Amino acid sequence: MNFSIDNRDGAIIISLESEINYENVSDFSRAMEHLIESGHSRIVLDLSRAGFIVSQGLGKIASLHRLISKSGGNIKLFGLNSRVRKSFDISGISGIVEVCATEAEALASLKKDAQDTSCKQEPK
Amino acid sequence: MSDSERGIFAGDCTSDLTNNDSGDAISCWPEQEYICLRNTQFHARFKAGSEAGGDFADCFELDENRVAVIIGDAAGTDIQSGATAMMCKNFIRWQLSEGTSPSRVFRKLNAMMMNNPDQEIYASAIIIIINSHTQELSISNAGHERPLIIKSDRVIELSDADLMLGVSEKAEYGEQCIKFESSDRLFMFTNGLITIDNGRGDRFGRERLHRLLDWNKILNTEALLLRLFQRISDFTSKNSDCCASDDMAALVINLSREEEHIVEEIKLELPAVESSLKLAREAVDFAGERFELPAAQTSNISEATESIMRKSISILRGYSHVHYIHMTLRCSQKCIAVELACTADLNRRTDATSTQHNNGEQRPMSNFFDDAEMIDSMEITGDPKTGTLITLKKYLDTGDIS
Repeated sequence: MNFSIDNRDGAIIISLESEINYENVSDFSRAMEHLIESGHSRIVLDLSRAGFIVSQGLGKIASLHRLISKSGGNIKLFGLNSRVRKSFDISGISGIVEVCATEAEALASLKKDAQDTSCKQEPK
Repeated sequence: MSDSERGIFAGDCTSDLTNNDSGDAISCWPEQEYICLRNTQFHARFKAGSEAGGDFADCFELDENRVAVIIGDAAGTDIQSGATAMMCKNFIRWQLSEGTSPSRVFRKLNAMMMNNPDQEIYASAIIIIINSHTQELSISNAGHERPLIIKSDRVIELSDADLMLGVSEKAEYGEQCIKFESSDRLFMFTNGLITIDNGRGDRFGRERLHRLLDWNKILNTEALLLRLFQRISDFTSKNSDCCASDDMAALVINLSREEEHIVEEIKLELPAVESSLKLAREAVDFAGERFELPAAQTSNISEATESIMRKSISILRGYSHVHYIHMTLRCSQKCIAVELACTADLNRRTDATSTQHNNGEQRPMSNFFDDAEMIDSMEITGDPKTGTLITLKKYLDTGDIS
């Protein structure tokens, strides 16, 4: 599976070049896990060119969110077309992984999460 | 039926339940299935994907008034998803039979899937409890494609859904309770039905499915399912390389407390000429009056019948050996379903591949299938006296789908 990676505001933006289907969902999973294991904990997924995501892919994104949350990080999504958005809504995953309208909104949300986390960690 | 159409639901295809009305549960489905439990009728149609899939379904009695229906899809197309599907189906059935509520069944199943240390497994599923006494549906949805209710005048989507199974240990599952009317039909499906693509980047999609059900809601359930799978086949057949990788399953439940039965069947054999149009309309009008259907409903069917027949006759002019249109009206107090067929004598063709047009033009017989697009079924029978007859059937279409 092809994707590009861009660093911005302390986060990495992963832009998928294609849909997530049965053939490439394992590749997607491995690549994402590798990035998380490499220490990236603030991830923005650009799905604007992913016109379709299989249910296994939806579940994988939720699992990656769970995995990265354990290290205090987060994943934000943006660029979903209406069909993909509906798949996230029906599966309930848009309730646990935040779907943003734009890249800027996703980055701002990550930044806010980081601030909230650091506030919680500051000793009183 | 081709091998690829022989599906194995949840890897379990051990018994033939065709025409089963004994109250046994559906443990597996071949390509199509019918079962009746407590006057609730279940029609299912299934097509296997190119790889092992994870679709599963089940229906069984809980007590004298309640029937449980399950449909689900374990993510993936490999052996693991088949095993997950089996596990989900058996667990849900066991728990419901023990009296556990649907929402609690999902909570337990989700916890079990989250505690699997070896591998991540995900699934979506719906449990519906149909109470025929109170005419209520109790629905719990774990991230599955939302069911549709086909009403006599519209199709509506049931909106509530919770998180799919295997995604979060914090997932909560609720239950939605709705009243149904005796004429309602419940449509449940797996997402292979809408995610199938035509090889040109377009997928069948929810919108197309909703439109198709809405425009064909007048059809009886068997014909409706046939039409749906035929449309999907048409959608993909223009690309010979296109093959569904995921399973497709559809389940229609007639919620009527009375059996959906044909009250009367009227058969007409009409010459394939323009003057037959008037006869066809009169037959529909007569049936509408006889069964006291609303005038607007009868008029819609009548107009659609005339429109299809006119088009058919126009097409048939290119085939000199197609003589008759056979019109079958299946009438009940609820609706009239019209089935149109034509009969051709293939033995009277001038050669093996072409037929003589009325004005002398040769048209290949194979063109007929393209010309008379969206044919629902085809039957070829041999008759030593009259030659080989080919019968092409088309159910009434109340609209077209783009």
